[in-house]
Amino acid sequence: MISSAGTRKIHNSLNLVVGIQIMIWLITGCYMVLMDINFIRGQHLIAPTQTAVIAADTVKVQPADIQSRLGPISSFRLLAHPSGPAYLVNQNERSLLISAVDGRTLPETLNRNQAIEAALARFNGAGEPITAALLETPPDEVSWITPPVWQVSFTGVGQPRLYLNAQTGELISKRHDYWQVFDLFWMLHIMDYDTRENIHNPLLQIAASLALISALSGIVLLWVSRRRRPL
Amino acid sequence: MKWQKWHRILAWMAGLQMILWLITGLTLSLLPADLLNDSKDRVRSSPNVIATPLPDLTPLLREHGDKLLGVDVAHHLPQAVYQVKTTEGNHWYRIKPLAPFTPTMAELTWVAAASYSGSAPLSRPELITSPAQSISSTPVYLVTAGDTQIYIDAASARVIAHKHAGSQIKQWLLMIHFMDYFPDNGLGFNALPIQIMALLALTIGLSGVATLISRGLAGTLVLPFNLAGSKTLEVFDLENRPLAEFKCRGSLLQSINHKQKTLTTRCGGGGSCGMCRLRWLEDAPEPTKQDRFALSEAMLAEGVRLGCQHKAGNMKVALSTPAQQKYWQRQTYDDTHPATKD
Repeated sequence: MISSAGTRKIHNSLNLVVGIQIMIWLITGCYMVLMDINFIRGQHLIAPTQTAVIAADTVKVQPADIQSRLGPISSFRLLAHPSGPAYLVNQNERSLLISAVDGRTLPETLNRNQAIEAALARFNGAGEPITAALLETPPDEVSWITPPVWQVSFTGVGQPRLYLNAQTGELISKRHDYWQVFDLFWMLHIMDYDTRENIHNPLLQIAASLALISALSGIVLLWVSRRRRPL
Repeated sequence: MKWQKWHRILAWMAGLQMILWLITGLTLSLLPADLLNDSKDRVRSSPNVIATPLPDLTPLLREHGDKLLGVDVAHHLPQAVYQVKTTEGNHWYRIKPLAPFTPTMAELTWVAAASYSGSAPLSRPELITSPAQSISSTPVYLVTAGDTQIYIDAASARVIAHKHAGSQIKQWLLMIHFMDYFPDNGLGFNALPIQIMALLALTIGLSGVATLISRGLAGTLVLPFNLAGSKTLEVFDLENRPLAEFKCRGSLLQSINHKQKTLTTRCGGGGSCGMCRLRWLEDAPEPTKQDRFALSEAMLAEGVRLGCQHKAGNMKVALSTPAQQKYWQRQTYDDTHPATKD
């Protein structure tokens, strides 16, 4: 049986080894539970409902017209585009945007003013747009987006950024600096410094095992120290 | 030593939850990813070529008027359907003929089978009008296949989720980890209990770090690898007769008990049990807070201090109680002469 002195040695020694990671878990855990997850996800940045309503009477081109003009298509969508209602059609893995007003093919990317206009239509914050950039390589915070993508940045707390489909102006994602901190802390919390999503990594398993032994030894020490023997 | 006191008090309050965090976190990490993966037997449909001539949108545009956000062609059924997005929600229409969509049992079964890669037979779809909030806030159909539950949205016939035994294990582990014991809308990070406990746990960590640093600086940190110094600690019995000499390593308690436990202690050097008290024969150090807590004023005046709270050095100390001496003699019964233990 391990003595109380031995238990204390285990507790102190393990904490010297994994103490930094335990403190990282505690600090990052605090941030993640204290920050409202809806704020982190940027829900406050977006108007609850989309306001770009399609004016029904402006739709002059019908789906059958598109089908007869293009032939077989694999997806078909009517959407509100900054230049009026439009059909987004996928054919042979290529997206085409066709005006539902007059049937002409629309440009593959929005211009800067259209991107800002589309961003403002969805933005619910108090800030003003400061930059708008058409990105061919999305930044790490939205690396999953297929480029190109419009990034419109606003003034305000955490420098809000909206990411819009470069062709349609539809909102793809929203980010701010507190999200980046959350993402960094999540990486540190699960100890996956590469993909930031694998909780089944050996580093985490070793550190958590050592920390668990340390915590259990701490509980043992609490128990043996619970009452002072009368002198 | 106030940090150590706070470390103990806070550990009583939040220690169990810290262990639960570690156990659930470690279990989630150790369990195979495939076991916890909700979608392990789910097949996602990919768009096919739209073979059906799409009907005129005019009736839909007229019906939804100034609330229309968009119209999509959905491919999750044997025949494509229109999904009309409005400011009030989604509406579904069959394409041929153009009419409001209500899935049939055959279509629901087809959708479930198309989303399932396993070989177990599928049950008949069962309507659940009030599903768990974590699944959906609107009615769903449930189809079971082996231990897999397939949830299908009742309005659109779209598969919402696959669940199985592993999902339930994951749900329980996350519920304990997040302390969200009454999730009303799926598990959340921001339950009040976890916020309170996280702050307490952070304070445990900070007080632990402060304790390690303060005891390290004081030279009394209990470690398995304290190296022997050049100084010698001399220990005497109650009548001031020499008992033994020790090379100094950390505290007096550690130095004396390094090879064999001859000085009694219950807490192992935490300064809480008061059993390792020794009487300084010359130049007693200033009493620490732990000394003052554990010892009476008369004892302090006699030069008695706790052996675990002071760094060993060239010094002479004596045992302070008959119980200590009895214990010492029992542990060293065959060694009645003063000896260098190290």
